[in-house]
Amino acid sequence: MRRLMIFAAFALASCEKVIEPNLRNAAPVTVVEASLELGKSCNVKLTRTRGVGETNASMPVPVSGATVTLSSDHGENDTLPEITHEGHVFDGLYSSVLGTIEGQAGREYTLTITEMSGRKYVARATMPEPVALDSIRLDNLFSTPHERFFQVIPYFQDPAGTDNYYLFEVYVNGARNERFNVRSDRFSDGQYNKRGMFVTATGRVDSVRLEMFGLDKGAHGYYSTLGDANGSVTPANPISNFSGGCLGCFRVCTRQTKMMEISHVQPATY
Amino acid sequence: MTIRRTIITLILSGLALSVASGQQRKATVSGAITDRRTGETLIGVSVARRGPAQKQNENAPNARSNEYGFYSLTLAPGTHILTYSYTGYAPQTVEIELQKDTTLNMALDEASVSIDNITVRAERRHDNVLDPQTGIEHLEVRALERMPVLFGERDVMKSLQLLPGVRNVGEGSSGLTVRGGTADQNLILLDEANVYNASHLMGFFSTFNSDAIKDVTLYKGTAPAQFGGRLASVVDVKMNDGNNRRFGASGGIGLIASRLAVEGPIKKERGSFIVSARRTYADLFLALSSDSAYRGSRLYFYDINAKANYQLGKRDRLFLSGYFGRDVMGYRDMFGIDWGNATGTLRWNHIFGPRLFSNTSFIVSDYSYKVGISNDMLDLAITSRIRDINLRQEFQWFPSERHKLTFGLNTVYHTIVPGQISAPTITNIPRLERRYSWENALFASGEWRATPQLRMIYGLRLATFSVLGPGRFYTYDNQGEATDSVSYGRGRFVKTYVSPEPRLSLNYVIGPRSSLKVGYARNSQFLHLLSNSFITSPTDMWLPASNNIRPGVADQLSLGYFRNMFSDALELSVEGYCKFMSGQIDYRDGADIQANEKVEGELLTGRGRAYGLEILLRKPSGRLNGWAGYTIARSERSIDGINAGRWYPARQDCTHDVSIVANYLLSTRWELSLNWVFTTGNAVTYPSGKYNFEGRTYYYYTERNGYRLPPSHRLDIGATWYVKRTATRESSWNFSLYNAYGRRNPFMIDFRQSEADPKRTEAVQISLFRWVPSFTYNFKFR
Repeated sequence: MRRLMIFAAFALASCEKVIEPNLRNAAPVTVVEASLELGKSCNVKLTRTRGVGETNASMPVPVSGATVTLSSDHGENDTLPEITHEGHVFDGLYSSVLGTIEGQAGREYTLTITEMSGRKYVARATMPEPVALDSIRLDNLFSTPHERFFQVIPYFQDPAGTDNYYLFEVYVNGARNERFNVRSDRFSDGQYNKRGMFVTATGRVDSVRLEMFGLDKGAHGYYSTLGDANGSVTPANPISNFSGGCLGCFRVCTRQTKMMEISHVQPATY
Repeated sequence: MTIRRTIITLILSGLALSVASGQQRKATVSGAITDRRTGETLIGVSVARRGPAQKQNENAPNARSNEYGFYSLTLAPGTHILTYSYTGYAPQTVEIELQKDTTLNMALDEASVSIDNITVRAERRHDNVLDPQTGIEHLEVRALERMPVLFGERDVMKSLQLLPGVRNVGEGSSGLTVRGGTADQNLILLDEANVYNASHLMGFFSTFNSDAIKDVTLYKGTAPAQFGGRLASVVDVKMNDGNNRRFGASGGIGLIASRLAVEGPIKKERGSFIVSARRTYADLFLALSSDSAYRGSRLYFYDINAKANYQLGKRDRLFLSGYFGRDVMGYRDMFGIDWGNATGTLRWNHIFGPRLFSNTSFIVSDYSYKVGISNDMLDLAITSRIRDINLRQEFQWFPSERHKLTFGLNTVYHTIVPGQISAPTITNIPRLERRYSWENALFASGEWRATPQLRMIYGLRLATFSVLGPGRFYTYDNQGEATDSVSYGRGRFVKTYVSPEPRLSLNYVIGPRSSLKVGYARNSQFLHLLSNSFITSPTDMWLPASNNIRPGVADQLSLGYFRNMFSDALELSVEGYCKFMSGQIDYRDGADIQANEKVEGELLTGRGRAYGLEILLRKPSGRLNGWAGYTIARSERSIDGINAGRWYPARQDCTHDVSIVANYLLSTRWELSLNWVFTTGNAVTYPSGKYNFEGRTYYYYTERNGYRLPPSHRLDIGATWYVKRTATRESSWNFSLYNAYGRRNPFMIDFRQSEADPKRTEAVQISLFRWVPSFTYNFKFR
């Protein structure tokens, strides 16, 4: 029987090997990371795609010299200057540090980016009404000798009668989880949320922090098509809320955080 | 238009000839052909008349037993010598004095296996050259027993993959891609019932338990008119009827699954039954694991085939057959998915006369899956089902020695329950509507020997598909946004498609051992499979044609040269084909297909084209037998909205495909076997760039299917040791080694940041099976 088991394990085990496919690098494309949070000012980061084979991944190629303007449907207008320090440009960051526009619920914002080359990208997004995150709970699922599987459950009341979109980020011991979680209330409109998200952790879990973002439909569409392309039959780029042919998203969002410290004195009950 | 006119002319002249020849005084010899020991009817036995002035290419069978073992041969009165021959059986020759219609049932003896006796195939040798059907492959189920296979679980579908023009959809998969088609473009029939998901355990096993199977025929897109509904192929699987002489049992104990089949007479020589079942037991090993995560898992499948038949009188025979299979995967009670097919077929054979055979079938086919997620917070189930109720009437008329006509009709009522989510704690889940549709076909097909040189199979299938209410049907704009909707009441016709499908296969004999074949066929497919996964997933969804989604249509033209060489020791065939398809579907980027009532807005349609050349060299008999096949092919798509509408290779596009299958009879006790395959990798999409977004690395894609997986090749070897082989008992051990030289074949390529250097991107090839040994003990009592 033992031999049979060894055979079975042997048979099902997969193996991995690094290969060197001859990849054709596409012409670089601009990537926009733009965020406007409720009650805060807007930050924009402009970078470019790099070749897959390039190794300097920690140094994204910044896009400098672009003109970034923000306006709202309440007649507000703002220009986001590029952040410099003693005359040096930082990483293609544009921010209204002294900005006049702060995110307000219900308003629609338009972000326009014009590169020096003349290429122009425009996105519109609406600030959702904030949804209160009441608390979080951990629910231990099972453990293997190496890994611990649990779920983090955010408790909140989804407002009835409106479409709500959420993005969740989980941090374990201060480190962000590899995957984010994106949801809509398509099947749970007006419900009190008790749905958790699965988390895998190695080693001891001392703290868990959950960030909950409220999004609009366009940003939800972007996040739900971001990632997971790898391995699918037809991997594709996420659907951006920008027009003009760039990658990335203008995220107009609410944000709330709950943190949980885990005491290891008592037998773990999480 | 000219093609259609030519075909109509041919059909009319064919009928006129049969009527004319029918007016001479003739007599018919007809009957059933069976295996003497088991009473099992034999399909495709050739019945050849040996006249005194026989020419060489007249050696063709004058008749062939049909799928129920019935044959009919109409001859001029007089003395005739008839030879009945069939692979693996000793040929029988009888002399009959034919004056009036005569019933002659024939029982053949299985050839005893010994080295001296393995050339019994000789009589069938010309079939390859003389059969008018193009694009056909016939699989001898008996030959499967020796082939080396993954996990020792012999598998009809995987054996078909070794033939030219056919390959698997992924490493270890039982899914087929035939002549550049997708896996859902194959019509897989088990005793005429449509099997919607012909795989177990994510495609690594097919649903067919080879113990229960009598016969497998594959038509590569050029099937005669009685078949239709899929673009790429028909896999026609027939189940065993069961021994009507005596009780017997057979089975096998393998590494991963065990099987048992019991058969016997209901009433001796009048009726019989067979029940066969198998179950995998990988989960039993998991239960022994010290790791709690594995201990709670469920992972197994089982299936049951059952069949009974009864001869009511001389002219009537009833068959009842069924299949039930289920796969179960899950973890404790937290997550579970189970899926499977159930089919049932009730058939009535009636012989109206020596020249008219009728079969009436009532068929039910059901495929369903259920996903359950349950924990203390959430209780959710997704259920989906497709159910067919199918009535089929077929007549086979043998008006003359040179002509056989098959005609009838088929009507199917489809009910599709899309992935419906239900959860007691969640109230406002949209109710996805069931979809109802009605598929009909009228067909007529003739097999006609026009001259000793020219044979043909001609036919016409008139297929219709109606989308029926009740239901709400949306219309969409170019962006896939719903613009309007109309509700239809129960039984109302929403949309009807009519598709006339001409079929023609011609065989022109150009020499004593060579022929040219030309074929044309149109096929329509009214059900599309939505799948976004490269492994066979049970949750793939079938979507019927509708007011928005048009049916797929394929036109295939093929040309072949067939030649037997070295006193018929070698059979060579070269077949080329080209295929043009419309109504091919693909997703919009970022499509959401789960529980989406407006799923049709997420789809794009376009065209496809495929062409290729298939070469097969077969040595059908001798101590060393087997074949070598080579295919060079291309399969492309053009879909508005993907790659800017330009032609791009379909995922299953495979440039080169080589397979070598060899068996060697070492002694009466030992038999060795070997397979070697080489295939170009699938067309895949690789990233053309990468970028950071919110601290994570993502890939940038520009061309759909612009790259290739590395090529795959592997050698499988096997040996069968017959421990005992007597008239009543047989037992053997089968040993096999899959991927004997341990080639790391690509299953998929994963792009990820290197663990050693997180700044660098690595392309990681994931391979599944290397050096997989297995052994199976097989036994038979009878």
